[in-house]
Amino acid sequence: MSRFYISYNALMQIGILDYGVGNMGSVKNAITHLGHTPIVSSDEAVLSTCDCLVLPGQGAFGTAISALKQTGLVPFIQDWVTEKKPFVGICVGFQLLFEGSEEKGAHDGLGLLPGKFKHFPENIGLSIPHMGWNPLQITQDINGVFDTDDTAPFVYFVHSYYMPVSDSLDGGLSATAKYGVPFVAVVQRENLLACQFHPEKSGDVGIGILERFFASL
Amino acid sequence: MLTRRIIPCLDVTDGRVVKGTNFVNLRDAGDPVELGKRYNDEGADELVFLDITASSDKRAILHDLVKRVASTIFIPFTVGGGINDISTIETVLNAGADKVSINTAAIRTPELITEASNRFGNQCVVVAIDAKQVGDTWEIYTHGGRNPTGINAIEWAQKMATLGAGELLVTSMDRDGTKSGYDIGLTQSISEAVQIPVIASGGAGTTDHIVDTLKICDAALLASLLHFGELTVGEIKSECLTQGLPIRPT
Repeated sequence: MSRFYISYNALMQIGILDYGVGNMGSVKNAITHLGHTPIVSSDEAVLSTCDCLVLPGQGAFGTAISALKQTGLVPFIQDWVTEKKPFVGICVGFQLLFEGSEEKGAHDGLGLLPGKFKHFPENIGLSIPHMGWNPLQITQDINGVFDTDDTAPFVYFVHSYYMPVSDSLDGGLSATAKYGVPFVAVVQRENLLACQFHPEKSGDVGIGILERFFASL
Repeated sequence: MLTRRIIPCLDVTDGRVVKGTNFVNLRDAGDPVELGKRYNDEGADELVFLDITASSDKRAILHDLVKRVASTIFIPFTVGGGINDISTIETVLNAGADKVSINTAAIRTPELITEASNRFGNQCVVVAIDAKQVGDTWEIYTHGGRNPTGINAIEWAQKMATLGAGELLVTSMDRDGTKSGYDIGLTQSISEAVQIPVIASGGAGTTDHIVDTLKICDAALLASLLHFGELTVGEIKSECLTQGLPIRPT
């Protein structure tokens, strides 16, 4: 019923960056479910007309950054994020925003956030990848994406490399989680939402996070 | 710490969810898209979809059905049944699955597990083990429980983990659909033998059965109990929480 009252302006064109890594279907379904229009593309001209861009991704960091470089979209994305245009990074798409990763040799990322990813420690009896539902510990929420009634929302993670928690995130640290070690789970800046977990696979909690981020734009 | 998971399972044939006892006597349990959405809304932690027809002529319909289920749920989605090569895995993932469950093909070509794990990541590869008790151990069956293999289930579980499986879905054929409780001996033996997560399947009849099995493994698969409305995901989770298990609240 509430959908009926959403104003025409609330419906946005959300670009999903297609660089051949991982399944875009879930992200697309989530955007459609929220009443916005998903546009899957690797064409800069198409993407530049969108109200918000989403960088999804799964699998290995090295494979993902090579694939992204091949699309020629790297400078476009760097400018877009630097100009504080609306942007969402998910899982490997979150990791790519940082300086780099130690995954299978060293790889450079987009360098938009400081820090390098490390492999989860192997010797502490935890299965790797870190796969499953884990609660967030929220530190701040500059775009207002979290439900204020839920202080430890459970979200769904799948990853083997983590960003250690440090104060070098230029005030962007938004939430941490713990799997043997504490790690960065969410970074937010003005118009930027970057999540290590999969909001599109985190049930109502994840859909709510995306919904509130889009509504904040 | 990761939470224990409650996973509804849709056994699908001819476009309908069905459920039987000991892998036979199937009865209709509803529409897969409706049931999938219901479990998503009730707070299930994942959803499993198993194509139990596994006949090649119906694959196109199946693909469309997987796509329709995937478009209405926002939780991890595993699809299995007749998955026997890399290209089928790719098709199923493109239709919206996050993981695939491989059973018979793992026995015919164990290297498929390594290949799939290298290509898509081990988080994507679930190996399904259908086991029947024989004396004081368990033996693996394939083709929907029709063919005995002579393979010891515990040894097989270890081999699959070594080859690159990310998870094991262990079904007790003796308990399947009987509501007499999970096979704790089978689940525990496999859980202790491998480092990767183990999903117990077959035999859930009460919340106590589910609580007991979640003390020794990572996830519980449920079918009849949920499909026929005897319990809801919420009721199960609230009992698990009362009993002190780490569970994502609904």
